[in-house]
Parts: sequence; structure tokens; C-alpha cells
Amino acid sequence: MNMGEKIEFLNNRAKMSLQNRCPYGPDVDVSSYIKSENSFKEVEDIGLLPENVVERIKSVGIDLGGSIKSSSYLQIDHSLVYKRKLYPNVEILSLDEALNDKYFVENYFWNLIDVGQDKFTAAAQLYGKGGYVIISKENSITESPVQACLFIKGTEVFQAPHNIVVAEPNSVLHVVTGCAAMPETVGLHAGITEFYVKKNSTVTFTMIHDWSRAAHVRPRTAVVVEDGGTFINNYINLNVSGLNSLQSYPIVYLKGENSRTFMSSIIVGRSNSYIDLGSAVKATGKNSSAEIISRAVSTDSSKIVSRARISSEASGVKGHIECRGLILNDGSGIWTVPELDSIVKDVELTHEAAVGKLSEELIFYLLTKGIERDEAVSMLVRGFLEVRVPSLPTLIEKQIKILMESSTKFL
Amino acid sequence: MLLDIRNLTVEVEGKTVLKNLSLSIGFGETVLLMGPNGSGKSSLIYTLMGNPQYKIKSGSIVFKGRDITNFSTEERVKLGLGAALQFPPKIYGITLRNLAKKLAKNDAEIDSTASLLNLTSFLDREINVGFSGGEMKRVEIFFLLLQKPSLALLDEPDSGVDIENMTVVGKAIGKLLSDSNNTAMKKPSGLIVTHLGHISRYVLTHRTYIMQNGAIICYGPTENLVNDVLKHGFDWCIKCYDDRLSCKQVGE
Repeated sequence: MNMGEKIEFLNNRAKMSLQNRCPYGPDVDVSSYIKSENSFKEVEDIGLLPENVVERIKSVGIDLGGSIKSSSYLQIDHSLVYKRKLYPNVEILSLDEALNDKYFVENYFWNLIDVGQDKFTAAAQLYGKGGYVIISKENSITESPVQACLFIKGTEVFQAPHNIVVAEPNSVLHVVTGCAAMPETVGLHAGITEFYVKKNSTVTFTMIHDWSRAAHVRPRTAVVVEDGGTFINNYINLNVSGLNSLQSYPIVYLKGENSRTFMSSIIVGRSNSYIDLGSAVKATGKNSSAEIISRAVSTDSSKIVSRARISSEASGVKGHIECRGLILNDGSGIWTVPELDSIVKDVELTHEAAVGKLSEELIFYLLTKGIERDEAVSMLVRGFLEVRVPSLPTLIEKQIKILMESSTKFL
Repeated sequence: MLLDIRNLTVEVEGKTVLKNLSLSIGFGETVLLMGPNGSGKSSLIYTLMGNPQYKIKSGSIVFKGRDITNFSTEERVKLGLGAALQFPPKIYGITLRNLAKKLAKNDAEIDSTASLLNLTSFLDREINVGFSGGEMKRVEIFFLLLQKPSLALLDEPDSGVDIENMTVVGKAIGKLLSDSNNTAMKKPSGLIVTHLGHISRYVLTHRTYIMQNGAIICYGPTENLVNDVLKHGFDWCIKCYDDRLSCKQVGE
């Protein structure tokens, strides 16, 4: 199939799939979101952006113009607004630029995700605009993270960028994305992201999300990891601004021998948010390994479904799932769904799951140390949400720490 | 009197753990509390700290002249009670330093106190996660030193502590109970629960209480009592008490 044929095939399949409901999460009427038009133009200098937008972007840990020296990509609604390439070993392109390249389209465009998977993938192909492409060059290590921000500002926006990240062999790449919406914005985000982690490469992907109370979020993500490659996924949604619904179930294909992945998710459910979030791994590479860790805290009347699945089809696969949920009040709820399966015998797959309240014993302990009750609860919740993610640059660790401190104070 | 416990009866899940117990500690005094396993020593510590599982059925606790029988844990700690628990819980996600920062004046105090207890390399570890019994004891004393209570309740600070660290623990408790560790420059008081009495070699105590079945059965000068217990065991103590009881009954 040549490039033109591939695009035609994708569009046709998408058109046929526009009514396909996703088996998880509440349904959303996509058609009511796909009418809005572009509202932003690309800027040379980040200082030209409205101040409230810059502040909101900072709240999800992204500092585009500031002290942090990094390559950056900013998309507001449908438009690429700002792009900066700082390091020679990391290429940053907009998807539109990358689509001019035949090799790129054939090898990386919709190769990991079925465009007909559901109405969101279909709509993303047909109506989505923008997206970043990040490529780390062979044998290169770039410690400074690439920052990408996808932002919803308009109303009733359907934001569906298609992002593609490629780590060429023996390269190390760190990507941080902050996704946010202006307060009270009604919008639907269905970003598509494909990762190609080639031989002996390492990619860390940190996502910090904070949407608005009226937003529906349906990202679709898939990753392939080749021999000796490592993919670290670190999802943080402390939901400070609330959201209407979020459903996502990214999958990592451990195709290569000795490939590995670590997927963590930290979620706080507030107000009446509905969150259905999972992490899936399909291990077909010999001696590949996977670890999935999730921490969910439910408050108010929020509902959180926390899914995790490791499927093994190769010998020597090791996998572990750890799902923990903390219910802070009646009326909110957490469902954990850990799944393990294998069709070969030589594997080690384990899981542990726990859901419950904060231990009174721990609260009492902190009280005896002179900590007041509210603070004790908040320290324990903060401690509960602490996950040590391997391979992260200290810069990202620091950013996350600051964010966690400021966003868990009132829990 | 700093602490005056009168006729205290306490239940946990319907089971009586303290029976008509009376005990008092003066300002600047340190007393030892000994007794066999299950005699109610730790129950007394939990009750004094206001653990809600320990229901006071009768009697009273007066601390610094105030009846704190119905006070919450927070109120008791504010008033100057502090405890080093025998079995502190593991706390995932909170490091020693995180908690110490809430209690200490400054970072220098954290560092010097940690150094005193050989805990410098533990400061950035999660509280009690993967710690040995002896390490947990040191952690408890570390927090108490930062907390600076007027009355320190120490539950078995010497059990599980190896010989090398016994001196460290002894020295730290000595500091805890010395006047230099109190902002008001008043010598703090202590109640030290011990099973084996080792700690009495490191800390000067004013007297020793012996506990059995949730009640105080004897008290006297530490030197005599600890030696007797170590020599003859608690059974001897209990027999002595029973004998005294029967004498009393005969006398009556």
C-alpha cells in the first residue's frame, strides 16, 4: 500500500467506525464537538501568549519560556502555537510536516493503533488536527526532557492531535507532556500517541493532566518496544480542576527480547468525575518484563476504575501488577481490575490489589507525634501517592514533587 | 504531681486490659514499669496517648493539673505527652525527614539528632519500611527528641536493640530526660516500660512499678526491685504479691 492508498484506507475505515462505542467508560456524542474552528496562530515568542494561558500551562508542570532549557511543542485547541528545537539529537516536527515523508507515513502513522478501534480513534483521524513528532537520533542521549503541551481553550473543542515518538536504536529520550484546559471549558480530547522504542533505547514519558470540570478525555496510546528497549510511562492526574470523564487504556507491546516497561498511574478523583484508566502490556518478546503500578484516591462522589493487564506469549516473561486504591469518603468508589494471562508455562506473573480507607493506626501514630489530624491525613494520602519511577531525570522528579505538594494539600 | 492516674479501668473490644490502676509521676521524675508479657504495660501507654480503641470505663488521668481522661490524642500531645511506641507502624511514602521537618526547629537539629542515634543514613528512607526492631526503637526516640515532651512514655526502648546500639539508645534517652531538652528548661519526666530492665543501667530512675494482669502489684526503689526481678523472675514477684494479699486477708 503506498502513502496515498494508506491515507484513503484510514479515512474509509474511520468513516465506518464513527459510531463504534468504546467498551469502557461513558459514551460521548463526538458530533457535538467537531464543529469548532482554529483560533490560534503560531507565535515566535512564548511571551506573546495570554498570561492566563501561560499560568495554566505552568500548573501542569510545563515551563515553555522559562528557565528550563528544553525543546518544546505547544498546541492550543487545533493549532500548533509554539515549537522550539534546542538539541541537535532530538528532532521535533509537527505531524503535518512529518506526513510529507513517505517513509514516515508507512512506518509510523497508525501502525500501532487501529483507526477503527472506536469512535474516538475514528474521529481523531477524520477531524483531529495537529500533533507532535519527536525523534531521537541513533546513539544519542538527551537528558533534558522535551516538553509538550496540549491545551484546550475554546469551547466545545474536539482536540485530537496525533503524536508520534520514535527513539532510534541506542538512544535515550525523555518526554514530559502537560495537558490542561482553561477552567470551565467544555471540550473533548482524544489524542492519539504512538511510540516506537527501538533496539536498546529508553524512553520515559511523563504525563501531567489537569482538565476542566466539563471535559471528556479519551486518549489512545500504544507503544512498541524492540530488543533491549525500555519504556517508562508515568501518568499523573491529580484532577485539581476536576473533569467530567476520562477513559484510557494504553498498551505496550513488548516485542523485543529483554524489552521492559514500567507503567505507573497516579489518579485522584474529585467532584463527580468518572475515571476509567488502565495499563496493558502484551509481552511477546522472550525474557521481557513489565511492572504496572497504580494508585487511586477517590473523594467526593468520584468513581475510579483502575485496570491493569499483562498478557504473556513468550518464555521468561516476568510481570507484576500492583493496584492500590484509597477511598476517602462514602459515595466515592474504586474498582480495581488486575488481569494476568499466559499461553506459555515459563513465566512469572503476579498481582496484588488493595482497596480501602486510610488506616486509623497510621493516623494515630502521626497524632502521637504532634501532627494535627487534617495534616496527618494529607501526609498519608500524599505518601500513598508516592511512586518511585525508575530512570526519570532529576528535573522531572523535582517538578513532580512540587506539583504533588501543591495539589494534594486539601485532600 | 505531673501525672496522676487514679483507679483506671480500661477495656479493648470488651476485654479488660487495665484494672483499677493507680500510678503517679512527679515533675522531673522518671519511673520504670516492669511486668511479664501481656500484663498491660503497652495498654497503659496507648490509654495515656488517647488511642480510641482503649475505652476508659472508670477512673481518671490528671496531667499537669488537668483532667485529660476524655481528651483527644491531639490535645494530650499539645499538653506535653509524647510516646515512643513498642511496635510503630510502617509508613510508606513518608520519610523520616518528612516527619522530622514538621517537628524540628531547623534542619541542623534534624541532622544532629539523627547523628546522635546513628540514623543519618535512614533520614531519606520511608518510616520503618525494612527497618529492624532495634532501628525502629531508635527512630521512635529520634522523633521524641525533636518533639520535646514534658512526659516521655517509652515502651520497651531496649528490646531488640543490639549491644552496640544500647549505649546509643541509653545516651539518647538520657538526653531526652535531661533539662537541656526542654524549651521551658524544666526537666522532663519519663515513664519507661521495660521487660528486661536493661535500660535501668543507662538511665537514672526514681522508682519501679511492677504490673500484673492490668494492675500495679508492687513498687519500690529501682535498684532493689530490678535486681530481684532479674534474679528471681516475675513469678517470684507475683508470688510475693499473692503472699502479701493472703497475709492481709489473714490479718483482716
